[in-house]
Amino acid sequence: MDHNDTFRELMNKLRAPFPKEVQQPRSDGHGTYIPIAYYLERLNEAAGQHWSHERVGEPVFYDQDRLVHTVVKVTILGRSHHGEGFSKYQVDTSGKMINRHYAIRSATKDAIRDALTFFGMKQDSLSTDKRKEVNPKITKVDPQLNSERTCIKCNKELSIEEIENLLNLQIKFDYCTEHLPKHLRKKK
Amino acid sequence: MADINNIVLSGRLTADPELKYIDKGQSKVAVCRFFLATEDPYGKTSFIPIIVWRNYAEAVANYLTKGQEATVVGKIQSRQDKENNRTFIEIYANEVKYGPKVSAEQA
Ligand SMILES: [Zn+2]
Repeated sequence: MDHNDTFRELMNKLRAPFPKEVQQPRSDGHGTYIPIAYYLERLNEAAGQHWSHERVGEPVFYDQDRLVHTVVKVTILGRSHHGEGFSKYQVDTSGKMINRHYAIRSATKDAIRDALTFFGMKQDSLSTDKRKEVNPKITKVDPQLNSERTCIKCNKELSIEEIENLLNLQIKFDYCTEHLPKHLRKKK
Repeated sequence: MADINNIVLSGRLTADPELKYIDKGQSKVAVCRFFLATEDPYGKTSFIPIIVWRNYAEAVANYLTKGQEATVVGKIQSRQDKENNRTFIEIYANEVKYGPKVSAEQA
């Protein structure tokens, strides 16, 4: 098998649609998204040691929108694409960003996901009916709605388990396990 | 003896409540803020800012949604914004009774 065949086979694995179960509700309540963890899992399964990423330039902070923006170059078997990523962040009372490294890491992962779409990896799963629920106006203008969900108190990126837990408890604000208020932990 | 400062107010939420955490010493304190649209007998609507603190803020912010009816019991307070020297009048709620939830279409 030559190099091109390997690349083609790898891309086929990468581009296969995601199962419906991986979809998670967005934090704004409009439709669903696929958490980055599933993209990375897929990428590692398909490409293993054949992929790498590097951040291009320094992260840019948009204070007014409380967004951090990063550019990342993803290389798979010698071919590269750039991706752009965004992440929301929280500030303390003096206006200083909380846990800067969490915010940057979250934006970097979002950029990897963006780069993967240039390799032809799909943004959505098999289900097409779900997509109708997504408000097209919102998805177009607001890149942060595609970004990872982060804790309202510490900016830490939420794991899939944490998001599912919030959903089970019907909590609409994003909390990591550590910062989830005790009095909200009991389901009503 | 302290002066009287009691407020009872009912109305509808104009938007989803906002929840923020502010630094108080070493810890973070939750503050929930929302506006109640309250209508007088002549049909004039006022938009009243409501503040809820601490654990109760987290619960109220989680439960209330845009368009929902709510009754608030609390006190009225003024707050000075040091930056532009403006005064804000706000209701500090110590009790919030939730009305029925509204569906997404009605909100
Ligand atoms: Zn947290």
